[in-house]
Amino acid sequence: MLDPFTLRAFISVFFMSLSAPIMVIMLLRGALYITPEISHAALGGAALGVLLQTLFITLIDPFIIVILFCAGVAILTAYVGRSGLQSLSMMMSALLAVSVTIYALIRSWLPKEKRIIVDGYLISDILLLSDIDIINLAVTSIISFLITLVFYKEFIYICFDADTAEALGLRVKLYDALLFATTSIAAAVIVKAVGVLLSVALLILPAAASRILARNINRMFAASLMLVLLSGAIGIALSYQFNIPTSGAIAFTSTIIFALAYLTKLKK
Amino acid sequence: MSEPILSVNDVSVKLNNQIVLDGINLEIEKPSFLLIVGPNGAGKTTFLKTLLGIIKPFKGEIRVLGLNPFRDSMSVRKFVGYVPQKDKISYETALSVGEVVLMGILLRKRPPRVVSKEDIEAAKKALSYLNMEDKWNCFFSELSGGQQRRVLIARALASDPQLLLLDEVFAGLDLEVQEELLSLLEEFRENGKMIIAVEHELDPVISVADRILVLNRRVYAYGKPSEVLNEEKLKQVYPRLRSIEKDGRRIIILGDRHA
Ligand SMILES: Nc1ncnc2c1ncn2[C@@H]1O[C@H](COP(=O)(O)OP(=O)(O)O)[C@@H](O)[C@H]1O
Ligand SMILES: [Mg+2]
Repeated sequence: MLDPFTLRAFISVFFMSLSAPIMVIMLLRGALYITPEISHAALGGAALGVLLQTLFITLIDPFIIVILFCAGVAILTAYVGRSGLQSLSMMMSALLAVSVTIYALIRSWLPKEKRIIVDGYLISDILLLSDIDIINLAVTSIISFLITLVFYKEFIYICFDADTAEALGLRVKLYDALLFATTSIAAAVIVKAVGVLLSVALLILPAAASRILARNINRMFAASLMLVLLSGAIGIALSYQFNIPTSGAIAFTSTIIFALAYLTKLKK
Repeated sequence: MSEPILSVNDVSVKLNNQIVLDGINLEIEKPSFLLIVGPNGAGKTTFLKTLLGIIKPFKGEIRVLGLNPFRDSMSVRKFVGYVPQKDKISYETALSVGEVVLMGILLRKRPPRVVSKEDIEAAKKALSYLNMEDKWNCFFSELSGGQQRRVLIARALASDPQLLLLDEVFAGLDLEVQEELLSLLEEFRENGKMIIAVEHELDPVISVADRILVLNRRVYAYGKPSEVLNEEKLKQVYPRLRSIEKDGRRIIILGDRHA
């Protein structure tokens, strides 16, 4: 039977897969490329969160600060990006620099045992998640998945034709903010499970591969979700077989799957 | 109706601190076909969005069917159908023709915007009006340019609007398809609806228009086609304008971008 570590890893992979559909919507919105920035913002958020926890011994889990910080960065980027590509790229670089700087500064002030928590967001071992971590993943991933389902129509309408959606009374800016906030929650889930450095492989690649494999939006949802599950399952197996870090093996598998999907596209 | 359909009173719009529309005046009493022409960047799309209450002018007043599009934006949007410029649509987002038309109906409902039988019937009826009902399950992005335009018009018509705003729906279509669309629009006008079409080229939309407005940040000319299609007037807006004789018709080539 599965040992508890492996079982937790599988459970985390399942919760990560719930993040895939919102990434598909981001792809259709033409904004998937900002998700790495969002996930890097988690570093700044984690450092702040741990600092707050250290200073005030609050009950607030740093993970909540991570989500809030990511959402703030995402919404600000989207807001500024409205006035053109140049301001968008400037804002993205600036906020990335701010997040990483906050991380570096705060990290150096923290006592050693707290530093480990912050660094856990940079590279996270999916086998070593605590029960609290798993509960955090469960709650947040289900929230982001539910928001995706509930506002599916609005999100898709904005992707397809934002001008008409607005002309018909949809509050496009509000739903865009919701889309980016939800993406931040989903990104935070993946960061928590595998760390910032490997998160890109699970944020962008499953959605991108689903676009190659399917055209219909619901099928893209299903494909991206399955690809995360598949990457997780194969990655966990590989890590046992070859005794390599599990998170890395999962990211590696996701990359290989994307490469295979891309090759099938080239053949066509 | 005693109210004028459209009344635009000294309206000016700024975007990014630049004046995009400057002192626009326009009054339309009864349903008709208004064609607005102007070069790229003239503010045509901005004007339509201002009528819809999406962009707020910093000066002037607008009434659409007697309503203020900013105070009563929801009521105005109920009466107005909108077809956006082609390049505003994402072909990556693979919606079926049916889903596209339903979008026009569902967005007028409250969340959760559940599809009813009546909605589907209304959508199919709008499509059949444009002879597109057999395409219900096709992907929108796989249709020809002319068919896509029809689907978008069907979406605008699905909620039975009084006023139809069309943003460059003739651009990039074959002459034949253009003529087909035109006769459709003529039919809508005969049914007592108001049409405002925006184009950056003139031909062949002029043949149907009741009034033409030449726009380039401000109104350069407004009147019946025969009055406005005066080369001297048009040259102010389109310096590279020239006219040619083709199949016994005079065609004005605006020579856009350099205006
Ligand atoms: N969202 C926006 N922000 C700032 N400037 C804009 C925006 N949209 C359009 N503009 C500018 O306003 C002017 C008019 O644009 P538009 O109404 O799209 O013209 P048209 O539809 O006639 O081609 C252009 O100079 C354009 O660059
Ligand atoms: Mg335009």
